[in-house]
Amino acid sequence: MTDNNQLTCNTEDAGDNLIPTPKKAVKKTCVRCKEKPSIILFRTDPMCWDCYHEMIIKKFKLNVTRFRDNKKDVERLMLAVSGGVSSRVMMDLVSHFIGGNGSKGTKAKLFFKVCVVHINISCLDQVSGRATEQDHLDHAQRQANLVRSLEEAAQQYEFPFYNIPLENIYGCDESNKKERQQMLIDSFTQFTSSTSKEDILEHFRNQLLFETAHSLGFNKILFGTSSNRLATRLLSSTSKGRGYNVPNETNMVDQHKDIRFIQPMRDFLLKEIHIYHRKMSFIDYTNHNVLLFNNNSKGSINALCEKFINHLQDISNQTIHTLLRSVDKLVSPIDENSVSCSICCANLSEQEIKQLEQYSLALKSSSSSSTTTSTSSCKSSCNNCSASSSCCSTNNNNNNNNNNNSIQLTNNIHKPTLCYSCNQLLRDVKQPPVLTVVPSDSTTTPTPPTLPIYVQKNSTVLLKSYQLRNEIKDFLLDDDE
Amino acid sequence: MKVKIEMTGGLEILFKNQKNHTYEFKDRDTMPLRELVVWMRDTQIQERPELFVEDSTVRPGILVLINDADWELDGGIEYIVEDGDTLSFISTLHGG
Repeated sequence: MTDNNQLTCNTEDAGDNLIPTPKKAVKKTCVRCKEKPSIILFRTDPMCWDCYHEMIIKKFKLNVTRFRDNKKDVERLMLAVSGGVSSRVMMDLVSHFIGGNGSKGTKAKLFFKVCVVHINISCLDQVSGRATEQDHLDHAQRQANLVRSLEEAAQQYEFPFYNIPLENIYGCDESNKKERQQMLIDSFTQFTSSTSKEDILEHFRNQLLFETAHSLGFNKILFGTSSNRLATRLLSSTSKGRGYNVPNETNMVDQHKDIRFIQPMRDFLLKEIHIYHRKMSFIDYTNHNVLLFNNNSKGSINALCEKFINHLQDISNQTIHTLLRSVDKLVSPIDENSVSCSICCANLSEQEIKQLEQYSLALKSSSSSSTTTSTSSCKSSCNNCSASSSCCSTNNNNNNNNNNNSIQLTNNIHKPTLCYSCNQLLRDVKQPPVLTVVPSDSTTTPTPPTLPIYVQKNSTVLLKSYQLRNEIKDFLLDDDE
Repeated sequence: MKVKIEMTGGLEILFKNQKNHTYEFKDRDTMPLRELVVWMRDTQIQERPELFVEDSTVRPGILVLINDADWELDGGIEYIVEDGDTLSFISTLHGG
């Protein structure tokens, strides 16, 4: 290529590659104390370790305490810890600001009750596609080390530690642990794409955390999700059809019924968190959660979005903050009448709620026309009730008390009680679970169990509440009346 | 010149599963970081070099520390590596 050619417009290169702006060396003294050498470029300011440490604790404390309802009440925080760098740093930051670990402000400790919960996903190793037996052994050893190190860290900070296996999503009866593990493995192997596996893992984990928080009496769950991960989630959720719920998923706080999911690390880049982790000399048990189901950067939508965000961030280091500041301006769809998806607990859109209303009306009219026959047939055999309407749901609710029986009835999920994204998710299953779309009297054959009982329970409860609402809507008074 | 290299966050898998490495260049006093990174890709990695280097620079998502300080303080990939430097490469991808 000649010099002349280089000067002319070259359409081949245009827009293909964005070139990062060359980074210039920044002055080495901390901008705050103006004495010590800097170790990190925080936004645009070089900072030394002491100033950086002090600042990160202050920011973190602000992010946690801004959601306190009453300063006189004891704040009950449950830390969701995966064992990765971010959640490990979060444990340390919580300990610092409530005055544990020999630091100042021990009075604050009286107003905070903290526990650490780790969802153990080691049984999913069998669906990870690891090549050799040695790989499995290495992974098992690393998982064991991870749990041990988390337990030791929690003990050091004097936080109670709970190691909850993921198979508990199917119940927590110790006698059928193996059976539950197998069901979990079966359900994951039924999904064809890595994206679906990663998503269903996320939903199951959140649900298990939600249930654990309920059972332990905590009303706030703290996640160690960094700004990089939240920016990635912003793009990946949008591309997976979860755009309606993106403000909730990526904001600092997300209300799940009576429990708040809080992201106090939202202001921190992974770079900043890793430098903190390194300076505190924490042991690194890198948790390759995403790599569990694929081994390349193009294996899933989540991995692709992560790669894309990293490239943009490399070109301009303000990208992630700009994205998250933009999402702050979106309105979170939370109101008193919000309806949650039976799988992921995301709010359903107005259109989806209308569909649910129409569905419940159709279901009611169809069931009322065949009340006599369907009730008697359901008593004899539940398989004859394809619509799984109120009679079936009554049976199912009774079965919830008996864990073994409840596992058998997990697949009659009403399609309109799921959000768009979860409907798409279930289409990715090799043998799709029964989704009741149109109420009818035709007979269906039962499918193997895939989804945990909570999905069906949510679906049934949601539909029942809509049926009840329809029945009494003529007698309801408006607020103005 | 002699430099110490540390690989963490899963990157060590690419480098014969070893976290710490020492490289000695007898005929050099300094070396541009870009050159060192490309040399590492060409001579030290046996498979999937694209996971470490992209477009003659460290792959986005890999954090680089020069003597335990953020590499952005030293000009990033344009830094000139000197004798006795310690470089840490930490993968922030798929974890945390």
